[in-house]
Amino acid sequence: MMNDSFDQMKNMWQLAKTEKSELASEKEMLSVALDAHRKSKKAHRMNIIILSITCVVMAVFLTKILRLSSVISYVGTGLMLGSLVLRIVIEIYSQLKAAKIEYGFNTLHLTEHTIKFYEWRKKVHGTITILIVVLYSIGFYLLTPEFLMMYSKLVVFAIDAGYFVIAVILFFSIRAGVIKEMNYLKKIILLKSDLN
Amino acid sequence: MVFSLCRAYMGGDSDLAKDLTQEVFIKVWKALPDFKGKSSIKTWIYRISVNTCLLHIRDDKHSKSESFNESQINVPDDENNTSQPFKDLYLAINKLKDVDRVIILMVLDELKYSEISSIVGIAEGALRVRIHRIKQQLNEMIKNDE
Repeated sequence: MMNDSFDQMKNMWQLAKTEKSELASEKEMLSVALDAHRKSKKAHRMNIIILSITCVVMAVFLTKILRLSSVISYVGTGLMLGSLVLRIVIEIYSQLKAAKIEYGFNTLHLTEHTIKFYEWRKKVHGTITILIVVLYSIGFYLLTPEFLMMYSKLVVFAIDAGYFVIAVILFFSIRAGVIKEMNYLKKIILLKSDLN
Repeated sequence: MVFSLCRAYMGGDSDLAKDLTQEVFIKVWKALPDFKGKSSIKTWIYRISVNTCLLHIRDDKHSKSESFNESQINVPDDENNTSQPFKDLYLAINKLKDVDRVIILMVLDELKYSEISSIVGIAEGALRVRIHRIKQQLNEMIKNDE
């Protein structure tokens, strides 16, 4: 009885599969897919290029144009540039690690790999990214004495307050990203438990 | 094959299914150099399709708890009005758990149990029991909707 009913479903399914679909041909689909892939790779590359250019411009601006005079300012600059470089390295490593996740394995195997990747991302997001923001901020505020020699107190206060606002926005944006990825991790863990 | 699986997994939403199919094509293209021929190319493509569907939950606005309604299902109407039972089938499939959904879609596609087992990584014996349970669930859901 149950099998009869299921066979009906199967027939219906096969019938629907043979219906003309409005889907583009496989060739067109592949070309669109490859185009999307190229665009996504280009976007990732652009991210890294923008971060690297920011790093170089900042280094030139702080050391050549501002002509820093005190050791503390150099430490500040070092912290800012160092944390940016660390961020770029982590971004590249994360992309390489994500690209290694193979979808050709069975689902159970894939979920195990994906969970490992997101647990690693959890560490990166949870501790290293926050550490990067903190180090960058300390570096920025270490430049305050140098700024005071160049600008009025009011201008320096505006610069520092402006940075604080940016740091708060950055913190919440990172937090949103972490929550999104951790929710995804939870879903993959549920998926894996459903396979066991 | 890929599109029909993605469309049914996405509860009949053709636009979402097209995006998902594109994602599958990209993954197949990227993974092709690593294909070792241990399974048939068909099983391998199914594996990538199933994995892409199951892991496509990051931006999925339609989580399991938010079931699809009929208006979202995009099945071409025909003169014999056979699309209604098909919509019912989509709706019933969409009420299943994610893993159960892909398993039953492969059964509907007439894949052997050994192939399904190698795709999802569930032992064949356990898979048989599970498929029996999913069929029961589907039947009950369709009966209740009638």
